[in-house]
Amino acid sequence: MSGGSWSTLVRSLCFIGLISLIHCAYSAAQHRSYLRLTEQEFTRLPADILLQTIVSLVLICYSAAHVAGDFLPIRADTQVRTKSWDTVGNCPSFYTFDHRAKSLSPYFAADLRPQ
Amino acid sequence: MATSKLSFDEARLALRKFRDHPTRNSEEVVELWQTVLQKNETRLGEEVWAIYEQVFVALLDCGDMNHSRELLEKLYQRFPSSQRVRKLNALYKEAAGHFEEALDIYDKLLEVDATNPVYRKRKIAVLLGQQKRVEAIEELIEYLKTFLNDKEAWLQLSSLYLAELDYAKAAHCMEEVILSQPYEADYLVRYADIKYTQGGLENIEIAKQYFIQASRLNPSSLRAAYGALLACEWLAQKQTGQKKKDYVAVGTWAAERIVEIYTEE
Repeated sequence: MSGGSWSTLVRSLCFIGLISLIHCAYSAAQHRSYLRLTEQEFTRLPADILLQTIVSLVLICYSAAHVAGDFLPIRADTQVRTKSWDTVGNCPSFYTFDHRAKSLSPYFAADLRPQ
Repeated sequence: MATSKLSFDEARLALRKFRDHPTRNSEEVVELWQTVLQKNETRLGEEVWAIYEQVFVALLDCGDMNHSRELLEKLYQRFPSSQRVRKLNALYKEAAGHFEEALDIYDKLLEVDATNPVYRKRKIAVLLGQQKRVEAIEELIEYLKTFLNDKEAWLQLSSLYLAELDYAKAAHCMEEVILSQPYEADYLVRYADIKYTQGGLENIEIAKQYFIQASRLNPSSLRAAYGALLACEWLAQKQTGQKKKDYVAVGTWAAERIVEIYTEE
């Protein structure tokens, strides 16, 4: 996509297509009420309404696809991506306590014997 | 750390987050406990026991044996015949350096509940605490024959092999970790790091693929992008013609990714 002018163009095309489709629906309804008033049978819509419907449908499909933008890959996880190795690489079941923190305690307390 | 400025609820939520995604930030946990939560213990309700356990381990990590013993006594009063509290007692013994007594407790717990993996893992940790890395590796391999899908154990074994500079086996362990969590970019990066360290055309080709996949999964991972760049640089030097152009193209993409990461910050 090259810039804002292209995106405004497709957005306006989409809008025009929607208006056109609504216009077709209105025309078709008007046509049927006209046939009812003149007591004619309804077999098919006039060719110009059909053509306008198909053209506006194609226009909407094309412009809506462009408005939606590029495809994105499906992500299996949508978690926050700020996890560091400290969290991800942590093995809590294997904690050992023979590190420098021992020097922080003045003495080791007496054992706690279970009952 | 300005933990005293946190409200009671914020501190409680922080501790809960640390329980769900365990990080070894013991000083922070102890500070949260002492400055905020300890004054309002009654407000914690039934969560207090889980917090006691969490703060107990954190206190042991900080070398504070007295306060941790107080918490342990409270837990014993509440749950007098609990295996989990006896395991915490064994943890206390380990921190105090009484490894034989700790092993005793774990053996008794295994008699009661032979299939519990936690006690077996702690016995391996005791070996690690005694600096007996080679024996710990052997025990861990035995453990993994039974408990094949324990990702944490594979991760730990990988770190142990790396400490022994046995890169091939460490890479195999990381493969098992990646099998269990294929969308975690950090594991892919570590595997690629090991492969890159092993060196040689095949290994660095594999490393390049894993770095690129990691960078796709986590676009803001600098290590993945930089690893991809280094691998492509090495590979481009060894190849000629069309393959060289491919490597240069991928390396350029990696370099652009790095620039983007730095400009985003």
